[in-house]
This record gives sequence, C-alpha cells and structure tokens, in this order.
Amino acid sequence: MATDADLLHRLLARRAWLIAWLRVILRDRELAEDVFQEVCVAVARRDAAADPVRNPDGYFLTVGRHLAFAALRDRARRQELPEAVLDVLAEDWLRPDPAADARLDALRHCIARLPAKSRRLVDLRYQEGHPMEEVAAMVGVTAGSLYVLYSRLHKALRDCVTRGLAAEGG
Amino acid sequence: MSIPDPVADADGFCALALRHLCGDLAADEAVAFTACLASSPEARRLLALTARMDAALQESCAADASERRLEQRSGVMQRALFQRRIARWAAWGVAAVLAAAVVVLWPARTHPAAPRVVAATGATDWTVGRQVLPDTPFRLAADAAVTLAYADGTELTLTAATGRIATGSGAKTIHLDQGHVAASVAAQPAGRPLRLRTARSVVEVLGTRLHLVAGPRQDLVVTTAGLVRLVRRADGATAQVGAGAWLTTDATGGPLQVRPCMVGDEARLVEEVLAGGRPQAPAPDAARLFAEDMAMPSALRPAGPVTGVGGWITPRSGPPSAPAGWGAAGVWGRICAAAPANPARNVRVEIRDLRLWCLERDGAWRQLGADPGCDGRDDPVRPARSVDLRRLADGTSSLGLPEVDGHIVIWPAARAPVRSVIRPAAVTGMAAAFWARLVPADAAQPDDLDIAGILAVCGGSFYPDTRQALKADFSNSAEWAVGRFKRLGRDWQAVTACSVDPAVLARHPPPLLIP
Repeated sequence: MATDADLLHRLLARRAWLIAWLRVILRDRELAEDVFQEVCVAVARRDAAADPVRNPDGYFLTVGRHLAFAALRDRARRQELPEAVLDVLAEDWLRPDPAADARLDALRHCIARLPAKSRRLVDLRYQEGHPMEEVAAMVGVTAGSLYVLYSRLHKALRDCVTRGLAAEGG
Repeated sequence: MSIPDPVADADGFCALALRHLCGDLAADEAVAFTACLASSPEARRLLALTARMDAALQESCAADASERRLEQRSGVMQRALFQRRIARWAAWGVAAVLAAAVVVLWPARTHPAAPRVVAATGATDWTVGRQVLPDTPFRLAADAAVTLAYADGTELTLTAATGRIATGSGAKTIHLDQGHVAASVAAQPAGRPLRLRTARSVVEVLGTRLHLVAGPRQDLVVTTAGLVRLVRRADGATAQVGAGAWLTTDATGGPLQVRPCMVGDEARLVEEVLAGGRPQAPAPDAARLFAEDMAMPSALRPAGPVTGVGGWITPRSGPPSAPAGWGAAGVWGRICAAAPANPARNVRVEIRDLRLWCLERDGAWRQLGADPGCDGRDDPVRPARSVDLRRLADGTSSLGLPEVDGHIVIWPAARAPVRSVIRPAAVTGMAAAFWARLVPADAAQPDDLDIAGILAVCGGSFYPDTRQALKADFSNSAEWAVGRFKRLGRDWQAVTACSVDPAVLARHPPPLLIP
C-alpha cells in the first residue's frame, strides 16, 4: 500500500510509462504532457482520508484514462480506441518490460552508440521536436518510410538496452 | 483495408503503431488497427513497446538537452585551453595572451543557460536582447517590469522586484528579495527544476505557469497550470501547489494550506500580498452554504409586502443560463425587517463582498462582478424614504434601517455597469453572495441586537443587456435564483443564491471568500 507521498513520488518516476499510455489514448504528444500534469494534480489533491492505493500503477492508468477522455471531450476530439481494447491494453501496460522501462542512463548510453544517420533521426524528432512531416522533408524520405525507420530505430535501441541490462545481470 | 500483420511484419506494424501515436492514421486504417488490437495479443504488445520506447526517448532527450548546452560551453572552453597550450609551446607570448583573453572573456560574451531580456518597461538599463549573466542583481522600481526568456522557452516577468538571477549548475534560479515574478516555465530537465527562492520559501518548478510574490509580510504562490513544490525554509515544511490553487507562507509557521483559486482571481491575490495584506481564504464549506440557502425554508417572514421576489418561504432557481438573445446578468439583495416588525432600535447592518459568478462549461467559476460593499435604495412600492447607507473606510457598507419595517434593495456599485455581460452558451449556472452582520448603531446606547429581527436574502436575474431600464412588469428580467431569507446576527453570515445542483456544487464549490 502506498502513502500519498509515495504515490506522487512513484508517479513522477513513472512519467514516461504513463505518458506512453496517454499517447495511445490521445494520439497527441503535447496533450499527453498536459494530461500527465493533470494526473499529478489529481494525485496531489487526493483526499488523504481516502482508502490507500493498493496498486499504484493501475490507479495511475485509471486516473490518466479518465482525464484523457475528459481532455478529448473538451476538445471535441474522437476517442479512437474503444474501452474494451483499452481494458486489454491496460493489462499489457501493467506487465513489466525491462527494455521499455529502462533506466535513462542505459538508454542514453545506447543512443550515444547509434550510427550517425540514426542519431540524426533521434535528434530531429526527440531533441529538436520536429513533427514527422518536417523530419521526412529534412531526411529526404516519404512519411511512410520514415515511420518504418523510426520503428527499426526503436527496436535497435530496445535490443541494445536489453543486452546492456543482461550484461549487468539486471 | 489491410494492415501489416503484427507477427509476420513486426517492423511494419510498429510503424503503423507509431503513426497511431502521432494521430496520423487514415480513418479506414484506424478501424483496421483497432480491430487488430482487439484480436491480437502480439499487436497490443508491439503497440505497448512502441509507445513506451517513444516516450522513453523523449524523456531521455529532454533530460539530455540542458547537459548538452553545458557540454557545448565546456567544449568551447577546452578548445581555448588547447590553443593556449599550443601558444605556450611555441613561446609566442602574444598568442598566449590572446588565448588567455578568450578564456577570460568568453563567459562574459555568451552563456548558453542565461536568459535574455525580451521586454522592459520603466527599466532603462535593461535593453531588449541583452543577455543576463549568472549572478546578475536586479532592482526594479515600483512601476518597472522586465521579461526574461531562456533558450528553452521559459519566460519570467519581474515586476517591482529586487533580487538576483543565478544559473548555478545548469538549473535556473531566481533569488527574489521582494516583488512579483510571473513565470511560464517550459519542461525542465529531470532533477534540475527551476528554483525561485525568497527569504521564506523555495519554489521548485518542473514546467508550469505561476506567480510568486515576496511580500512585506508573507510569500504567495499562485499556480495557473501544472504543479509546483514549495519548501518553507524556516522548518522545511513542503506543499504541492497544483493548477488553480494558491498558498501563502510567512515566518510564523503553522500548516501550509493550499487553497483553490478562481479563474481571474490571481491579480487580486498578488496585489493584496504585495500591499502587505493577507488574502481572504475561500470558505471551506461553500458548497454546503449555497446548497442550504437554496433548499431550506426562510427563517422568518419579511415584514410588509415583498415585491419582485414572489413567494418568500421557499427559495427557487430558474434556468442555468440566459434566455436566447439575452446577454447580461446581475445580483441583488434585500435587507428587511422580520414580520411583524423589528423591535430593535440600536442596530445597523454591515454588508461586504457582494459578488456575482457564473459557472462555465469547463467547470471553472468566473467572477462577473464584485463590490466590497453595496449601493441600495428603499423598496420601490413603499413611500419614498431616504436610505441611511454609507461606505466605511475599507469599502464595506453600513446600513441603517429607516423604519421598523424597513426594506432595502441592494446591488453592487463599485464596478459599472451594475449588470455584467455573460456568454450564455458558455454558462451552465449562476451564483451570488454577500456577507452581512448586525452592529450597534450607537455603542453608548443599550445593546438590543439579540432581539433584532432583521433578514437578508440574495438573488439574481438575467437581462437582455446591461443598459435597459428594468420594466415595471419585469418583462425584461428573468430570475436565475432567489435564496432563502436568513436572520442576521452579530457574526458575519453568508447570504447566497445559486442555480446549480447540489451535486455540481460539491464538485465545483463557488469561490466564496471568508471576511
């Protein structure tokens, strides 16, 4: 069982994990950041007299999901994934994934070892924040090809982190 | 519509998942993608992997950005040092001097983590475009303001403030001795929040919009977006201040109480703390007060005929927003004797904080009008009598009932027009309130407040606009609510009216402030 202070601490530590969940629902990177802030506020304002949270990650997913739905409603945007699909997805989300939840230092180590072309892809999208269509124009590929390049980049980084964790015995 | 099979073509499916995350799927692709997620565990696994790696990369790069700027500076320094070594080896004294000059002067020319001035008013020595180097002190006059922008988009506006700007170890830090800082803070690297330090508090910000005031008696933090953490330096007590909330700290200790802040109320809080005052706190039981005033019967019957409020026993509420084509709302109150007559002679009524709000669709209460006291007149159906209504030094009002059956209508007058413009489509409910209490008219005379029978009621109406005179048949006004008649006593008492359901009130209590 987590106290309210523990809960907020854990939420901040699970930032990337929860933002990923919010992006699946919202399909918008900036909106996901905004809703994450709202989740922080909801957790910070949680009634201290309320029942303790037994499953913090499940609690974050539920609160995030409700706030994401509200954000979509406020902006008159469509909810793409039905609730039933989100229910089964939530089960996947609660399953630990060492590579996806890797420590930032492990990921940074792998990014530093990327070839120049891949490193440029990381910089353009994640460091400089260009939208995909701009990155495609800068790199000189179609948008469809660019998404494939990024999916391969993700896989390479995931493999690198997994190898690194295995080497550490982690 | 066919999409890549998650088992046979994992790369293709992950690319599709990434397009989903970017909101870039066509309608038919989205349908097929959703169906695949519903039926395929592998599809769900790949979506989870893609989303989590994408977010982790973003997090990693955000944390890296600040360090990279410092590394760039460090690289410049290292190159300069190398040049100096070459010069020494060549015994070329002039080159050595130049290299040393580069090393010495470089930090003064540019500093990647330092902000620049983007706007300045009343501060002639703060030229726009100038870079503000670490440990720069500032001392702005009462009418001066300077806006600083950092490379990451963070903006700070300093008003009538003194202090020092620091950028130690890559974290942005402002030491505020006194004055006001309004901040819009971009996401900061993990572990390096922007810090605003006063003599009493440290406020840590990871990415948000806020106001910080170092006032003569206390500090104030108002958060308008995001979340900040405040540490009281005296005892290390901490509090999280989320969006739509405020907190004050002083040297006396005691619990740190985070209070809700209504939309548009930040300026009032900032002004009050800058002036050395203590901001009024919201009533903790506002939802109950408003709900009871619209549910409980009136305390006593008012004396004489009561015009304009119809039946007096039961409160009532009208439509949540104005009729089609109408665009104004107002608040009014009545102070009157209880039937059959008020027996007390040595009594006056004090009235303060007459306010009108509307509840908008986003769940926020917006203040439409406010008066520290009120204006008023005798009831129009009675013979015209003068009203003994005067303003006190603090803006509140003091009212003497002219007769034992006195009946006075009050309304806000501090801000013209008396009626406020509303956007009916955005409004889901209305509320209004004022505070009232009885005081002896003459302290030298016997105190008969305990036998006083004086009532107060609050109500409000919609109008077509802010200018039309009220018609005698009330055809150009429509009540949005009339609360119950409450008996006044020695203590301040809230007199309220609203057109919002109790369940909604519980979720969104009106921002009633305690006197």
